Amino acid sequence: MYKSNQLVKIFHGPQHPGITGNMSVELDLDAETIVNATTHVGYLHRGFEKLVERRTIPQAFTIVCRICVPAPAPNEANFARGIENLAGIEIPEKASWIRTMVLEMQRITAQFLWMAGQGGSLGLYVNPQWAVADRDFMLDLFEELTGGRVYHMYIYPGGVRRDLPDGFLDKLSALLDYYETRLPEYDRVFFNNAVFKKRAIGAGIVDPSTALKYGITGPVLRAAGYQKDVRKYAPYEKYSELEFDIPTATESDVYARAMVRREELVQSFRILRQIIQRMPKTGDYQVKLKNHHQFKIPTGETWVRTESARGEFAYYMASDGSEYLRRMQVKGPSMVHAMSLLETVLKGAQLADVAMIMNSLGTCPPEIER
Amino acid sequence: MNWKPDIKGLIEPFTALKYLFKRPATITYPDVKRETPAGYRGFHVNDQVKCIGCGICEDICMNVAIDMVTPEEIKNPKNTSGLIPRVDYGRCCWCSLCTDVCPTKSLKLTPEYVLVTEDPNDFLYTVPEPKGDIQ
Amino acid sequence: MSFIDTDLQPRFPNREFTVDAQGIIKTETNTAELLGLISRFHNESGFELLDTISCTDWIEEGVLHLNYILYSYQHNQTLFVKVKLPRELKEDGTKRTVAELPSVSSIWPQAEDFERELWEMFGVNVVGHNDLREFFLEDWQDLPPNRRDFDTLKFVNDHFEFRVGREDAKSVAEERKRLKELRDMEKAKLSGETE
Ligand code: SF4
Ligand code: SF4
Repeated sequence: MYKSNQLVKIFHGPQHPGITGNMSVELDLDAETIVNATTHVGYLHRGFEKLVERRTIPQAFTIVCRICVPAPAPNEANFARGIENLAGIEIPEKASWIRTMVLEMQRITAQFLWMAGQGGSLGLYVNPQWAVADRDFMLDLFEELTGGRVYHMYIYPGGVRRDLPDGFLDKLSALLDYYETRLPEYDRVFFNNAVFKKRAIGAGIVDPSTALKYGITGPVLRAAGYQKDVRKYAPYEKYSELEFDIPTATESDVYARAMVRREELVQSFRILRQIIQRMPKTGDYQVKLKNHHQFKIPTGETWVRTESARGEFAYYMASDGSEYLRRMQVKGPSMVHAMSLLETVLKGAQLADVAMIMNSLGTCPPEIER
Repeated sequence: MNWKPDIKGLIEPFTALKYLFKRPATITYPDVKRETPAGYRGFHVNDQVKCIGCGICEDICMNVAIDMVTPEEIKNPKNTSGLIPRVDYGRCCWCSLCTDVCPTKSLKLTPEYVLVTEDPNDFLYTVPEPKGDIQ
Repeated sequence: MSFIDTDLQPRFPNREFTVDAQGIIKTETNTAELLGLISRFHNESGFELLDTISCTDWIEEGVLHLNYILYSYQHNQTLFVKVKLPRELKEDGTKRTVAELPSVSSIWPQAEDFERELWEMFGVNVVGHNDLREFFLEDWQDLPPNRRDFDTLKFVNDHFEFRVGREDAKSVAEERKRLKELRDMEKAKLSGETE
């Protein structure tokens, strides 16, 4: 490897191929090799945590989905579950099933968006075109179910906001059939692609021995050989009743993470098929909340976690007996993945691999800054 | 050096070329338009014959997008305040909370969502009467 | 037997642990003992992971309520280590608290980012941290914005303009009152005429 022993400083970002949002990485380069990397955030601070303090519960619910662009549903689910914990609300059976379904559909869209980004960061441009198009079919279903394509504002404290439309489950099932026929095509074009393998194998290795301690979650953790998933160790909604496997790998490089995500996609199809089978035909889909000025929650605190496609999404919420939340603190996977983890992983990597590694770690700036 | 080229991995990606001969997945907008599902959250409509001017929609809107204004003509004699909502589309996020809380269900969202204008004041949207029968 | 009885209580005999309805274990400590206690939880009780450090501003009690949220994959348990930090700020204009909070970044490197956020958004005076610089904000001279006494609405009104053209908005309550008075007056006039 060529070394010039002279450091050059460049800024990678704030606009990136393949990740949603803006964030810059300051790189010290020795020729092409990265000696030092520092993450700079601050382009997307919107102050959601502060805004929530001034809004009543139904009003606050409409902004939490905007915390994460690729996967808003885990945020809504966290918020709703947190409020239900604090206020002691039981949600109906059907609502819980619909929520599980929406969360799983959301994981699929996020995986496709990741696939698009991973292809884009490598210059394999067929992949982004296909993945974004295939993701759009899922968004069409979301549009029908929730009325919104990306920000659904659907999972609501006390249930979900609408019932399933007629024939929705059939459409979902047909879409899953289509996705299953598409997966071998993705294998040919992307996962088995010689270019991708050559670039990804051995790149961006996360040290497995420290992975648990450093708060790494999601596919990154599983590609390091740990079979850990919030859906298994702290099951929420209906996940404890569903059958699915947690794929793992041991290499802990970009390629291993890609294969783990591919397998997760297959597992999501499997989960959705079970949900389609077991979805209750009738039943309530929400409990009515009080008028938003009278909906007061007793003092308390709670900590809820959801497995998003990129890792564990967790909310800390504290209430003070009024109709406002005292505090809502969001901890997304990127808070660790894009900061301390990315900085370590990038050391010794090549300049050309930065975008690929960032994408592979599941970096998403909007959720770092909220 | 042991050099083993990954022949399969090099050739297989070119199978994507077969899509050159298939119909595109996109539609040629604006000649062909997508059908928006009935439940889509687009522009508001307000059935003024039913609206009672209670202002609950204004109260819940956290984006302060709704103003209560005096209409040219009050169509509902039971409208106690003589006001109807007007939405600022520069602020609205189409969360549909206002339509959820509307006690008479006069305020609704429609699947329409295209608004092109040169005048920024058009975004102060005087909520129209519903066209036809939107449930 | 619960995890507290078998594992935590024997190791920490004088410490009080409570469990809430969701099964979260809670214990309270102070800043002086914090570092020692937390590293014991980490080294001896299998709490590998610091998930986050949450902070709530209880302005009525004058404290910042910190929760070190620890998680143990081994035992599948969540532990909140509470610290109450007096919230008053130093007088020298740095807008950081008088009370000092020791950094735990020697145990978990990711804590560096959590503490940087606390330092910036709540003005917590973190000591033993080697990288306290601006995180989300740029050239921020005001109060740390996540403190309760920072008024978001005032900030917005001071810094941004509202669009023109919305002045004709009326208050529903006032308009109702006005209409009612009008109707009453008309009624009175009518009854006056008939007499
Ligand atoms: S639209 Fe509905 S909520 Fe709004 S003033 Fe009219 S009746 Fe009340
Ligand atoms: S849809 Fe939401 S943001 Fe828009 S006017 Fe109604 S309540 Fe306000």
